[in-house]
Amino acid sequence: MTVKKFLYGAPGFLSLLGIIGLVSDEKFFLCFFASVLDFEYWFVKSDEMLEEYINKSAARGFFCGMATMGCATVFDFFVNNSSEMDALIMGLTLGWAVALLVYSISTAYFGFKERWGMEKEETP
Amino acid sequence: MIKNRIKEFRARYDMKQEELAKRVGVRRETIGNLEKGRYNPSLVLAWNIAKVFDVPIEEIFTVEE
Amino acid sequence: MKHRINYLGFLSLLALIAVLGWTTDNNGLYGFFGFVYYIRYFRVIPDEFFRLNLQKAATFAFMAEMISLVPFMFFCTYRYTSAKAVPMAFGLSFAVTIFAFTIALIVLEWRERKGAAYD
Repeated sequence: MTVKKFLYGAPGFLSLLGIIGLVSDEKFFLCFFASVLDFEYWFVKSDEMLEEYINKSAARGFFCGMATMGCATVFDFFVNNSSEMDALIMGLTLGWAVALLVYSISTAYFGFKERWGMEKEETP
Repeated sequence: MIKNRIKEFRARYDMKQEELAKRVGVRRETIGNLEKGRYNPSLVLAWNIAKVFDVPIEEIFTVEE
Repeated sequence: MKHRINYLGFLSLLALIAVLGWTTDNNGLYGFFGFVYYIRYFRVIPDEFFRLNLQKAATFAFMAEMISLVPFMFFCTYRYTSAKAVPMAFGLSFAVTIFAFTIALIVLEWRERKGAAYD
């Protein structure tokens, strides 16, 4: 397995966080088990189109996460009058969640578009 | 791997990397990396470069197995 | 040639978070002043090679963020109370992300310059 392929499936490791949900009272951690789906990229045949859409999605996720982090921190500090550390924690958490959400939606969208395009082609 | 003859065409037209970069809207570093075969251009960039030298794309870019 | 805005420059806006540290006397936030480094990208033309390198660096950083959160979360849950563990893990993961992004971008730019010798 190449490093690139390993990285593409790496968000699947987030599913391990689901274990915290099993052994503690923080049940929202169980949602992380959904990330196990990302391991599929270790088994699909990779080509330049797949690489491009994963790279695009990850880059979108990264920048959206950064933008959300900055905006949420400033907003929480000035509008909600939170302390600077509470605002930062809020920004970091929200930024991380948005990054993962954008990545997931974007890869799902590209995957759907790819499959839909092929189905259309098969129709005479 | 995509091979190209950009350097040869530049020499023919006595054109510097900066000038070609400016005409196709990229940075000089991009042209330098292209010439050394370290970067494969998009079709649009390849087409723009061919247009600057007024030749078909395949005269500048060739694919080697 | 039409001037194009290099949006990476806007990452420097995160340096404003350091101003919050300044106004509230929280020295811990001064690290955000490091984002001022990204102002230089407003002067870089965002051509396709630049965007490709940027995408590579961002992908690497995103994956580093996702991978690093897991060990940090387990470590912090084990080490601290659950109320402190989650923010701590997110903070450490964010630090890893920014570090990974900046290093990847610097390495790719260095490689790019190395490959772009003058004629």
